[in-house]
Amino acid sequence: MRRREFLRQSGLASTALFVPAFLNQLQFGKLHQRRSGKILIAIQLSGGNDGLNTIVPYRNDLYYKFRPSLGISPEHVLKVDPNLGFNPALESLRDLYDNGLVTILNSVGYPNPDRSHFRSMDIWHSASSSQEYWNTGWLGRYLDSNCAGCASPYHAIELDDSLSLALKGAQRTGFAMSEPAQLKRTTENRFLKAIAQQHSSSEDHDHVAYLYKTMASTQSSANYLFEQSRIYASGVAYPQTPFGRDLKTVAELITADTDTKIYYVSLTGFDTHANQKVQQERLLKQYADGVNALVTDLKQNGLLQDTLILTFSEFGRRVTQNASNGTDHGTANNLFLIGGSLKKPGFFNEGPDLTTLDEEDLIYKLDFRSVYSTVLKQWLHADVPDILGSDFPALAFLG
Amino acid sequence: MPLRKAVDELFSQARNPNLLPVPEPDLPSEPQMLDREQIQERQRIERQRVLEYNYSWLQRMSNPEEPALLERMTFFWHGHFACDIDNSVLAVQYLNTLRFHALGNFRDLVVAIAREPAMIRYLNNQQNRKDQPNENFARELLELFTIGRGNYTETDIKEGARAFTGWSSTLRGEYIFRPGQHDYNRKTFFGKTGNYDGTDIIDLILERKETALFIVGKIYRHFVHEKGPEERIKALAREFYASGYDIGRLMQAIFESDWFYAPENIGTKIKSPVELLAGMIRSLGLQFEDGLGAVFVQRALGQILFHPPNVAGWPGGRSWIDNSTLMTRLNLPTVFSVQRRGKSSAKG
Repeated sequence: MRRREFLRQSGLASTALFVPAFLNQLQFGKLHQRRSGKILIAIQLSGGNDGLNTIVPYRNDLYYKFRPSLGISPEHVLKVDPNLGFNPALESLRDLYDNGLVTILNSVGYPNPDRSHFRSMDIWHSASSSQEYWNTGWLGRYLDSNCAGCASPYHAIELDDSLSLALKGAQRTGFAMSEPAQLKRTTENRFLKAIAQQHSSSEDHDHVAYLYKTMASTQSSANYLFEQSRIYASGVAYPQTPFGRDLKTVAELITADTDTKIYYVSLTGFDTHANQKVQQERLLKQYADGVNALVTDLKQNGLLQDTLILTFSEFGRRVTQNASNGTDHGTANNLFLIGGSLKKPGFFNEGPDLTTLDEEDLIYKLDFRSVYSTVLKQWLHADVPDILGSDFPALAFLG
Repeated sequence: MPLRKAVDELFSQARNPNLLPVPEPDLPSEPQMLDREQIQERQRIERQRVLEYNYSWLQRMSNPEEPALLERMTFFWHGHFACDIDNSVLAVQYLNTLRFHALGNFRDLVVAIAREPAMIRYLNNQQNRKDQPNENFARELLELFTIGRGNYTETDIKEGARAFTGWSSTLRGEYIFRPGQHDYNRKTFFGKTGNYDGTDIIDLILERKETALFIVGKIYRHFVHEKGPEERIKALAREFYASGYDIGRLMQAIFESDWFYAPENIGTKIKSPVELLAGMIRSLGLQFEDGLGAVFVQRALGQILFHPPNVAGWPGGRSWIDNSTLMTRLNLPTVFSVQRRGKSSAKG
């Protein structure tokens, strides 16, 4: 075929022609559901957020002993509890806390903690033990579990150019996009449309069929998500950062009643080995302001009851500060749950034990897989042993 | 060219692997004087050097003058003995080891890997001392590198780890055996008791036929098809075991078989990002301005040489494909052709 001919042909291709039948069904047929299920937003603080300077044990002398210059002095701590308070940068999180929209779990971790970013992040994503290597993520396996609506290619969306392990299942995967308009531009390439037209025959190897299916579903999803993103324009002020923009996109898609139940967003830069204070507080403020805007947005639209925001980091940091006014990689950490359906707002359990350490690090009290287990069972109504490999006891934080 | 001759040629090209010169380690004269920022700067420079070796490796894979089979096998072993490396001296030594043994004897390869400073550091064998054994290497040796899950006990891991105590590396990145850290007491491994050291443990593992089956299964899935007839794999494994773990002979048997060329085994593989990229560079004659561009594409597609996600390597198959990586793959030719056009018009 000559190039001009090729372009002309591909230019003539209409959307309807290259969306395969199974996707048309998906959008307009029986798989389409009105929002009834709950929405989960996972926020990942990448790099290992220092939990001890996030939720400060301001009554504990040991804290100030371990952190002579990095410790946050009591007069600066936002005191929300007789023993624990917030980093001063978390003013807008305190606002949510005071309204009963936040549950904080202390000392969350896992046995035999790994202090490598990559490895520990893999453990959190896959929900394996630290001795196992799993190639699928906990939310990916949730998609595999035939949950309601999971067949949709955009049931779970990560606001990023590439997809995290957490959202990769064996059969199904989540959907990665940094922004609906940009996604649409990427897929609107004429060449791609032309390729989609050369649809595979039933005789193709199943890998080939899989590739065509993924391509077609990406193109169709791109159109759908772009249209969805234009339904509701939020008037709430989000931080003017990529993270703030991601949360705004999430709020707009949720409000537009998009068929997406899981959103995954990351905020990076928490690896504070040196001069931690400035960097961590800048990020924490961005986090708190962003989440506050998101909650305000969802509340305005009556959607907060149906939303749960889970914030985690791959590990906390060493209890003792280092010589560069920073902290090194540690273990157990706090984890935030935010939303309108929390059973036990406030602190779920007591603050970290600074007296009994393991190689200078905190000892975990709650296994993160119990948190996943609770979310899967009580929020997403999924079968936990299927997804996590065994039945981790649920924690009573959801109503 | 008759098949036999073509295969022979692949193997004769692969003889005498051309190894890279190991760079002189860039060691600070007074390490204790470095402050944190200087250390971080040095680490940044080292990572940059590793990226340069990444790019030169990719170019070598794409170079028609290089022995293709040898490069394919070297790359396969990188995924098998997966090791994340941030130091150029260690990276070059590790790559040389893989290339040197890629079509040689599997036992020699395992022994060399156990003594590879990159692997020793990656799997914490530096910390494996008689008074405080670290089981990391022994566990992965059994689970991922040789015999596979279900063929050993936790006791085997513990006893095996003791045999590798003192297998360490120097600051300069050379292998060193530290007798003071080695546990010379008797160990019980696979039910046998003896005064074993690490090499003995490797021999005991390779004595088990399950090891041949595990390795052949993995090679078959990588080179032929993700699902293979069990009988065929078992037969190959028997030959592999009987040959004393001769990798070259195994590969020759695969390539000279009829089933390797059967329609059901053609076009069944989703190329890994590095395979895809190397193939495109080779067939389109692409050149990157510098290594960064090539590494950027590897990152976008999910596979960076010298940086596997974990010791289990890249899962492969369909896991390469999600909406985002597929779009990147499909858009690559456009990106490259625009680049090429830009270049040629700049010249003209």
